[in-house]
Amino acid sequence: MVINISRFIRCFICMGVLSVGCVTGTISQSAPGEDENIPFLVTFGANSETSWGDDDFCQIFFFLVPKSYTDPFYIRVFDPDTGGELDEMKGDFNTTVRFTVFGSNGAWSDDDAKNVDPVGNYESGNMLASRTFTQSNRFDQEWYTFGPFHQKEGEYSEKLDGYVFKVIAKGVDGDDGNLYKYFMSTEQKENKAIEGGNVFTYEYTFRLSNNQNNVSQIYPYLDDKVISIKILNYDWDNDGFIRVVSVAKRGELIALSNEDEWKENNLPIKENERNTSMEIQFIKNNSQLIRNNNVVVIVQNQYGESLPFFVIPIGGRPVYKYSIRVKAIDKK
Amino acid sequence: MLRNIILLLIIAFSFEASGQDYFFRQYTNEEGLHHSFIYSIDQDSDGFIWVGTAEGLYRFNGFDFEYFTTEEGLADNFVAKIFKDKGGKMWIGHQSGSVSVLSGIDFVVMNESSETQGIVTDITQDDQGFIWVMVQNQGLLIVNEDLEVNPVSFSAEQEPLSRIACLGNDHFLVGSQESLYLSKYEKDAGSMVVLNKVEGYPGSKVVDIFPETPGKYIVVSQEDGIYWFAFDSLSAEYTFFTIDDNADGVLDNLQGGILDSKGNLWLYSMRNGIIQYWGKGQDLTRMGMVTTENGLISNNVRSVFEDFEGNLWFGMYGEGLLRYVDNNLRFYNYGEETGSMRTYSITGNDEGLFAVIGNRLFRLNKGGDSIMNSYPLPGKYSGDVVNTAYLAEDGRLWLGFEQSGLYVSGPSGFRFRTVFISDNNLANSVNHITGKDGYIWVGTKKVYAG
Repeated sequence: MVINISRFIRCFICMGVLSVGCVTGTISQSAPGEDENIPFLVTFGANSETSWGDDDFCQIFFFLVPKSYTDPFYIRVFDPDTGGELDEMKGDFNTTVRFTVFGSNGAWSDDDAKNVDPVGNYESGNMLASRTFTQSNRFDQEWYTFGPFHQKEGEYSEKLDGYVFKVIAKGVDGDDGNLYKYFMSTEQKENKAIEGGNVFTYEYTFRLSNNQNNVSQIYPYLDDKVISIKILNYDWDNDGFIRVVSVAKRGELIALSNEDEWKENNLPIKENERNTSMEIQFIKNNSQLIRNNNVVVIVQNQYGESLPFFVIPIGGRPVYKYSIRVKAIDKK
Repeated sequence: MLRNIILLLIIAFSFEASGQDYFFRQYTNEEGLHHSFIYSIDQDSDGFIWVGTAEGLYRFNGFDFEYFTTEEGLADNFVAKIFKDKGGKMWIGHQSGSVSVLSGIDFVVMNESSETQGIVTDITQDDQGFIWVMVQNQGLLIVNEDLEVNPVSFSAEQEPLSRIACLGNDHFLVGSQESLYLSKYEKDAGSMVVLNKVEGYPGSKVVDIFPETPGKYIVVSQEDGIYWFAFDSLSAEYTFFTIDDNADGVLDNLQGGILDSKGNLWLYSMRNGIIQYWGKGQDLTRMGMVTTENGLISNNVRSVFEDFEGNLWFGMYGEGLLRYVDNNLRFYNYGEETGSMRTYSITGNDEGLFAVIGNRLFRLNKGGDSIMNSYPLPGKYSGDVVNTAYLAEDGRLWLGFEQSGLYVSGPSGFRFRTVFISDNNLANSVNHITGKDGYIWVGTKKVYAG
């Protein structure tokens, strides 16, 4: 799926993010995030079937380092290899996945970098580090650390009030699923969050839990120009249901995709939902266990512009606000 | 007699580990180096050390740092690479892909930045005097002596380029994000043609290529160890083999290497500090590591440079600039074994060393890196200190105290007896002891005795 996005609209989105600010405290900058309750991100090898739950064999995440943080920092990947117990094997493990870190001009601001499909100049910016992983005992269920990096190696965004780094996980070869996690850390050998940092993506490809009682959620940010949104989900595979919560939505159910297909849902956005995060909940099918389900989710505004999912929801998790009508009592 | 001068320095802030420590002079804010992420170091023809940081360029005169930014004419404040050409011009490569050339007292800017060209990854000079600039996403540029820039097409340009080394006779070794290419510059076509993708190169980013001896090169990969490349420019044949394949992970995240004037190979990393090798070619052998365990301030080393005088400079990632104090100077500490951080005197011969540390005498091994034994000191006064010690040719150890006068041990063992000098207090304050032709000479605050 290729989506054209105008620069004009991007500008509005940036301004929206800025207007709210990234009030994240010291919550860990992991992807998947702490609040999301998602076990792993997933990227399949380039020779895989898209029906296994990855539409493009590529995942792009952005790491936002606040301007105030000037010490070295690291981007860590858990279980970067494709092999062992965690990853999804199709036949024998034969998959190569390359993780590449980009910074400097264009890493985030280039239109192609934010496109949900890896086409054009999506590998924009300076390549800061890259590592290719296959099956490896050394990295199985271990953290691999990229860096250190310095904020100035990233792309400065005045509107985001920080420096943006991009990590692309690309399935180069093979047909297995690589399951992994990220953490942006102040330390090389342990996960220690950067105060005020955040992590975001425009297309979220992840593994759902195998626990039937599990509920996962992700948080698109609705900027001040959003009038309506389109939520797209891919390859849901009858794994329960998806619903939407916001300050104005109490849990609206959306249409679900079948095997190897996209499903679109259009929702209007009310004024009080702007400049807030929305919560998209993934509630497992508790009558039938669907194992190893991978899903892709995109949210676009009325112009087809993709909205960012922040692992630490901007403004916090949304809570539906009841509207209480006051009715005048007629005097007799 | 001692063959080498060995200083025993017990540093109050030294680390717990015993054994050899390395000592570095750190340059930071105090000397005017306000930015601590160092990306490149070089020295100009006048001896000034130039330091590239993420936020500007510094020139060090031995005492102070002078700061240069875009206000002084630099193309960009982020300095990724500094290179001095054979004519003495300083070339400054920037994160934006632009280059500032210091010509006289002014910077001339070339290859002005666009949004897509990427960082300057390398600058070198070929045997005909042309400057080669490598820009990550833009490829290769050749610059003539009039500073005219021309792009050079490269047939494997789809990969980001990282390093270039001139092999002579229009041949080049070009490193990229994943590969190593033997290439030839076709002047008429204005292109760099790949002759061979070097087989056996494992696939991680080439971070450095530098000559070991004429025609022989060391290739440093970011994650997969170090390699040796020999090239015959007449036959265009090459030999390539692995020196160290990083099987143990010590060579993770290497940033480059330097072969110093004493023949040491230093590899530097942003994970494991500095790894030292000795030898040549396939016989290069790991000698040790310099890390935070033995004196390095941080294990993140981004650049290393050897100046005209043989001083090694280390550009740290977040910790400023370090100068390795002296390659012949080794620092030892013995941790808690001595119970004191103060060394008062040291003497020795080919058999071993004696050191007075705190209020005890310590016998050290020949290399000085471990304690063999310790003995109580003689002396009349509590708290008195040994000003001088002298091991005579007959094996007797002489000790001169600040207040208690002179003592000598027996020819074997360390039972000391006093040697009367005088009743005068000043004469019993011994400053120095030495010996010649069977005589012992003692210098005191009032007289000397033979």
